[in-house]
Amino acid sequence: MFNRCPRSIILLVVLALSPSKALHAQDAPELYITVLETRGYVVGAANAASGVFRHVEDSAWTHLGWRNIRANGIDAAPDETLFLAAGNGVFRSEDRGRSWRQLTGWEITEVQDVAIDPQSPDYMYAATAYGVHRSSDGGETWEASSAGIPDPPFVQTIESDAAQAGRVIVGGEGGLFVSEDFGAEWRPVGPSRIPVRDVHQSAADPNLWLAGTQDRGVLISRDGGERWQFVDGIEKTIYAVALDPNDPQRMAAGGFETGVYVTTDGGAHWTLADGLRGVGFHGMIFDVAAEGRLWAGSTGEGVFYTDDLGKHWTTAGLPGAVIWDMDFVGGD
Amino acid sequence: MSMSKYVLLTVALVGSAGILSNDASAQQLGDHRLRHEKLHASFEARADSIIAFYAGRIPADDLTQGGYFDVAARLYQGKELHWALARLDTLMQDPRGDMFWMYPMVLVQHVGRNILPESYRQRLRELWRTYTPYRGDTENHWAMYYTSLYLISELYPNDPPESWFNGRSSQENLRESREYLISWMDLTTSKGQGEFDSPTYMNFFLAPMAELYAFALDPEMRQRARMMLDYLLADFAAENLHGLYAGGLSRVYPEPLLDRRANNTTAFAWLVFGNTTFYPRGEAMILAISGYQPPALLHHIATDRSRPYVHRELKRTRHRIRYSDVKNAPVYKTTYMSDEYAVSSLQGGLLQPIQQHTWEVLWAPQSSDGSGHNMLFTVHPYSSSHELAMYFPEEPELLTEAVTRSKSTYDSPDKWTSGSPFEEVFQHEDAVIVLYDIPKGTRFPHVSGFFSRELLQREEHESGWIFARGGNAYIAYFPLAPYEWQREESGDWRLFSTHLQNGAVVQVAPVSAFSSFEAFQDSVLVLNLEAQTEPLPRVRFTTLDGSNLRFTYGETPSVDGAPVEYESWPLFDGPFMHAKPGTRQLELRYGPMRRLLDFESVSIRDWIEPGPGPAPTR
Repeated sequence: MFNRCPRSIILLVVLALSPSKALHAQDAPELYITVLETRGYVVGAANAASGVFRHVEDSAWTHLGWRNIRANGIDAAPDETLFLAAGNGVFRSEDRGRSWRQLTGWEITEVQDVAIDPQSPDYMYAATAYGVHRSSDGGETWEASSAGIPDPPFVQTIESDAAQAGRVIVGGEGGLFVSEDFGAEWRPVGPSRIPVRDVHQSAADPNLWLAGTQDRGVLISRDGGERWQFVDGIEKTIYAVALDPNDPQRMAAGGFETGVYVTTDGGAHWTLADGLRGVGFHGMIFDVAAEGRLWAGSTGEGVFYTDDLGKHWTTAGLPGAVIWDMDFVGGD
Repeated sequence: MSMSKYVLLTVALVGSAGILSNDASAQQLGDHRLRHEKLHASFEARADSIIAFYAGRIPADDLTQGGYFDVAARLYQGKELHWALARLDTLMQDPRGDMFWMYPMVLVQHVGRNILPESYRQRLRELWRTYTPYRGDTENHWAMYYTSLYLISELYPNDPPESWFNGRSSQENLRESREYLISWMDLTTSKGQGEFDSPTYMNFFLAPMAELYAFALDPEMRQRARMMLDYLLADFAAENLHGLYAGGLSRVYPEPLLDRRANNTTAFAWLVFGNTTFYPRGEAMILAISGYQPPALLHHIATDRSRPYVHRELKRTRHRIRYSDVKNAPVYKTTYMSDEYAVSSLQGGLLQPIQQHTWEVLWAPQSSDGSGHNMLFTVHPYSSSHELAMYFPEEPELLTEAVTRSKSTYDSPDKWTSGSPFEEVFQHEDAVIVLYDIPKGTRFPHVSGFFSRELLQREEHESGWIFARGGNAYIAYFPLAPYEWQREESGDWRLFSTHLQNGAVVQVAPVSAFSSFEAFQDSVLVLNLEAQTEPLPRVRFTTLDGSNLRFTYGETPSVDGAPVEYESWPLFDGPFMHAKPGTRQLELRYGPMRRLLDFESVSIRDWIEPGPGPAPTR
């Protein structure tokens, strides 16, 4: 993702942008989140607004676009075009979320995550309940692209390698898979048949990757996602992992009723943060600008942040919201 | 089958021209046309009455209530338009309901397109830009969503992307919707529905198809819709007992399960078949407005129960996205239908999340309006995030809580609707064998049998058989393991057994076949029955008609030594419906009457088969 790219790469990409798009870049990074639903949601009922929200300040958020779309993942292209993975498909917004265009048709549904290749942003990937789909033209057309992923090809998290164009890692029921040819072929990496719920790359160290798994805690890779090992002490289901873009030693993870686990030594030792123990988290991200600040989106309690790795938490609004994903956009 | 043998009546697209080959057949056809005209007249009368009901149920001076259906009915009748406009004002201020909002909106816009003032039409159109409906995650959701999107895009065919909620142009929406609808029709007519035989949700397929038939400008789509209406209604017709959907059912809520009349399909049984009392539903009113004319065949299939018959169907599970090697597992349904009762079953296993009803004995309702708890069945109340995650993409750990918000009984040990991976069912005619092999540690480790408060008799014989009478059906029930009786708040009885290896043998017969209840019991008591539960549940049973059934848990059952051939299970098979999987063709039959729904050529062909045949009995 853009905010997690090494700054040298970001600079190159931004320089490559057309002047008109570059002019739209924001001065300060903005936090976007997806809210899958708000507590009490029932399909077809008069539900509270869910979907995409942008943080304004303190506990204030601006709702953007659809009120109910089963918003799962969000990612931004280098030119800050937003892409949304949702129940209805993949969506694109070129005006920071005020309006959206559905890019995919009926064949692509239950989209869990979306990833833009930061070095070749015409390439993007959708992780869906029915496998991987990719686009090579900015999202205008899509094709199924799950070769090498065993059936059923349920995948729910995908991340483009910011250090290598065309390299992508996807996680799902069958474990982790890597492609080095823009998603044409996939090969397994890491432990087989361990369901993976989230995978991210460090913006500070592109060789450092984290993955959250079902029941088995956190997987870590220090060689660019080729070899993976479980970290000690977290044998739980982890929905969200976060890597501080300003400090590769600092990481966090949270999941099903776990509270938040943190490490400050590059993943060698993990501890359960004091606050919010037992709370479930599905979205988690370190702030790009406020160094050391960790944002955590819960599965029904709204948004929180901490500036001391979980000793103290501040509520940041959206009570009752089930936060699914978080991303910073802009801020160059 | 040589077409030259038949008198052909080819219906090309929506036309109805016929070609008669000889005088005798012409006479037959004339008789059937006469019958059809009478049936159609009664259908028309019922259609008029349900439209009138919706056009009048809210007083014209009451502006506080009334939904899109009420507005549409008044627009359709062109009366009290001030009320319709006033209510529309209110409704437009708060759009909600996603795909459940879409098809009533389409109805109002089409019915009112020559009546509504331009300002209203513009405001209604604007809602398709500002309101953002969710497509949903089920087959019925998509039927509503894509039919509505198709029709509204066709109504505004040249509008640009920015004028639509999803940022796609009219032509893009039209193309996507058309592709999906045809894909759904092809899948349904090749492999069966995923949300099959649902008395709760069937109206959410029928209403979209009725709108597509009524409003589509493309004659091919109109024809497809008409054929799907025939198809879905015939599916219901062959398996309805006096207006009640007999199941094996895919989706049904607990209370309407037990009082089967209290389901949306009852409205269509009343409207189309005329075999139950008035039961208004807005979706049935849409069919009434649509101009659809049910073929006479449908009425006969739905109401002729003079001869018992066996009807078999192939359905499929919804899309499995996890924990399964197949995307759509086959569902084998068997129904024995008579005038007194139906016995119907699926093969067991997890065939549908949340609301599966696997088998039952359903006897003809005894009340004047068809209501009542007129059934007997068993269930293992399975509850598992594993089951839910097989079908839903959200995190498995969160799914049970999410589901129980709207389906509160899902995680209840007392629930009556449930599939179970530890249940296997085999039916032959009106006999059923159900077996359970529930692993230790399973959540809710027990089996429940539903014994209705309306059973006229219920006696436990020293042999182990339980004998009962429901309506004009005698029921013999042999439990494979010890049990106790529990009284439900409803007054019904629960046969409760905590034995993990379990099951039952059930034999049903019409009261009219025996001189007394005792005579029925005597006949059953002499039947060969060998039943055991260890090491696996296993039954050998000779039915009242002399068939020798063998069924061991985990093995293919057999009849008279011949294994049941699930591999060659028909899409439809019985006296009234014939279809092979994959053919996209369904032949409806009644007496000499024939109708072929051919989705391959998108055509309907009617003909009368000459010579003696199974004559209409009523």
